[in-house]
Amino acid sequence: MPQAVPTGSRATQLFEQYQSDLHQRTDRLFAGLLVFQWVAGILFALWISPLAWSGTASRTHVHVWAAIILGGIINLFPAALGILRPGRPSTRFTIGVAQMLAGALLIHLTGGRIETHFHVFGSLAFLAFYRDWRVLIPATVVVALDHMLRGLFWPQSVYGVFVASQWRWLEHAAWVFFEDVFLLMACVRGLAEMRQTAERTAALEQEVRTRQQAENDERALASLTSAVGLALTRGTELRTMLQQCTEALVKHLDSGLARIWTLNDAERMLELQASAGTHTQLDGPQAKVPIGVLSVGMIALERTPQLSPAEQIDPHLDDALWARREGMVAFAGYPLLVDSKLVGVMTIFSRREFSSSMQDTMAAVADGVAVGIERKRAEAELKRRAKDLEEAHEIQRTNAQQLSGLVDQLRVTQRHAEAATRAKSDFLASMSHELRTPLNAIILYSELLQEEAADHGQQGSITDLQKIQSAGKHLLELINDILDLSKIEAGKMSLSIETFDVRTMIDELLDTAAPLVQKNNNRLNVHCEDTLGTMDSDLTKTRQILLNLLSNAGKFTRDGAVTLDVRQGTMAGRPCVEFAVTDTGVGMTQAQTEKIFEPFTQADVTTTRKYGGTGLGLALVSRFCQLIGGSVTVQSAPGEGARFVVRLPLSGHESAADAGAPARVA
Amino acid sequence: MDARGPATILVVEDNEASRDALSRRLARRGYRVELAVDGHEAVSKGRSASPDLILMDLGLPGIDGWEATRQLKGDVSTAHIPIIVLSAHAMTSDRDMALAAGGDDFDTKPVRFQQLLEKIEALLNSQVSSFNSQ
Repeated sequence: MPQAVPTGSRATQLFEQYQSDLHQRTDRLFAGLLVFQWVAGILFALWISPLAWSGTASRTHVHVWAAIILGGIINLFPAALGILRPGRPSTRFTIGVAQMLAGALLIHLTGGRIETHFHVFGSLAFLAFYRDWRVLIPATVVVALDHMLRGLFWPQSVYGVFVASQWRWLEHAAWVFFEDVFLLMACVRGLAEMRQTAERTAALEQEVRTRQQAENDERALASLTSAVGLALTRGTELRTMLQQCTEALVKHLDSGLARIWTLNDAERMLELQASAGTHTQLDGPQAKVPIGVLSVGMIALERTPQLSPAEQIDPHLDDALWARREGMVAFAGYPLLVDSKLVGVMTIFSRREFSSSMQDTMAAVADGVAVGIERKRAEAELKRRAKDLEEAHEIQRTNAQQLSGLVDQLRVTQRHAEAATRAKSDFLASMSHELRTPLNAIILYSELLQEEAADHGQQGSITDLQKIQSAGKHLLELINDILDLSKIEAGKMSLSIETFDVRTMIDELLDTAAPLVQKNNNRLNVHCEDTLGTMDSDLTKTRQILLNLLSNAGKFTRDGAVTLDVRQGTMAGRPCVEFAVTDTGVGMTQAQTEKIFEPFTQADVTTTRKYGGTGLGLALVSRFCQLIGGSVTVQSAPGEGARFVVRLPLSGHESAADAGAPARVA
Repeated sequence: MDARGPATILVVEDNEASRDALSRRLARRGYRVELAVDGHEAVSKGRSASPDLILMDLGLPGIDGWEATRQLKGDVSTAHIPIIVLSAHAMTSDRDMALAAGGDDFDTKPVRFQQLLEKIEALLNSQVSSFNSQ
């Protein structure tokens, strides 16, 4: 930072210092020279004219006395000044005059020897050591006057001759003046050089100082950066972190007051979080500053850094003279931005101007602090969310426990239900047994009575008795079906696997089934592949399945056709026999087909009344198919008949065991 | 059959109505019918009345049908008499147990009379053919 005024004054100061040093040094030089001149004058006097003769009587020559006394006065007084009061203008002026007087005395003592005049020139040259041409003026005047007066009145004393031109002094004075001109030039030039040296030295000093300052600044800024970096990375809470940052700003920037506000987004309010320096309390008038209010609020509003003299910033803490009293000269305020999102403001008052590197560093600090604030907030948010999550987890755990309790309850309920199902099946099994015994009697008696009525030709009774028999047989069917179903559900239905010829089985089946199909004036068509061969399965149940389907088809078809197709097929990649029973009867809706294999769900409740049947036939078909390891499917539409397809494995051992297992568990 | 005169069938049945109806229907078909109401009587009648065939109900008071069948089949004087076991249970296990006890055939109640007659005739005829061969 080269600054003209301080450098100039320092140069002048240095220049004056050099001058003063030169004057004093020269004063002391002359002090020695003057004493030497005195002693030399006395010796000269003693050597040239020690005695004054008056005949044989002699006495000390007057020149000796002159050298001692007059020389003493001329030399010793300025010598004393040179030692006791060196550097003063009066001292060197006195010395200048004294040196010339000493020269005059020397010339006189040597009887006006022209060579001694060189003393005058030498002295003048010596006087030029002062680099003060003013000293030459009285010296020159003294030489001129001395020559003029002595040249007029005592030429021998000055020129060594008794008669001399009255203008000879002018010639001497002119030579002196001639020398003065060069000496004056030398003085002026010497002074100029001295001044230049002073200026160079001053500039050098300034540069050294500047460099040192810059180095100190660099060190301070590096310390600041590392201190702030440390504060930002420590795992402390937000306020502690920001307080450490402001303290670092005060310490390393040598600033007077550093503060950080954070933005409360909801309230559009800046909240003072940290303060270090002249004020450390966080409450007070600037604890909360709305955006747009005061310098802080304006920085937040405009989102640009502000650099200005400290006194232009709003009266601080209700004290208009605060900045001046505290010696604050500069103010810097930075918006704290993260990806152009404002999170706060940082302000610094300083007793020094901010250098550009300080500004750079402060801006970097502001960036770091902004990121730090954002990170702390994110951490807080994360913690809050983690807590929420933990709570949610806790709730979930509670729910899971409740759920597990419910599942346990359900298991108990299921066990109870299973026990109830078993009890029901057992009940039905024993009930059916109990029902069979009286039914046995009813059927036997009605048949017996029919035979007897036929014997006696009582035709009317026969019809009634047939109705009793028919009702009894229907009841028997019901009981048988219920018994089968309950046996399956109780897991007591076992399979009897045997090898039988499919074609033979069909032929035998048709003996029983044909009358059931044909009773509604239906046509029965049977198509069997020639290559069916034998199958290993439960013959009784296979027959029961087909009988139920054919009987069912005949029941729901009138004046139509029922077709049985038997062919080889595959089921889940294994060979099977496919039995398809197709009728041209009333058909079923989609909803009805979906429920048709459930017990007691004929297409609708009126069906049983209209078509008869137990409502259990298809349920048994489905259960038997499962038991044997096969399947049954149905396709139908209202008025378009129905097609039931049963697939039974060619070899039923394994699948029968598989299919039987769940039934037994149930 | 004609050569031997009417065959005698012992009906072992504890239920009176069933016993009465079945015996009367068998009688109408020309069989001589003997009756027993429990297991003990079945065994004694089997020995004393020397029936040509026995219709044995399983659920009987005293000794049950299985035990009676076993005793009859274990006695040399009655072992040759064919026994048709009748059960209202109709469980496969019942059928197996009945046959294991020595029954010659099995049928369920309520009786499908025509079917039962076929089984009776089949057994009687096999008796006749074995008798004739002797």
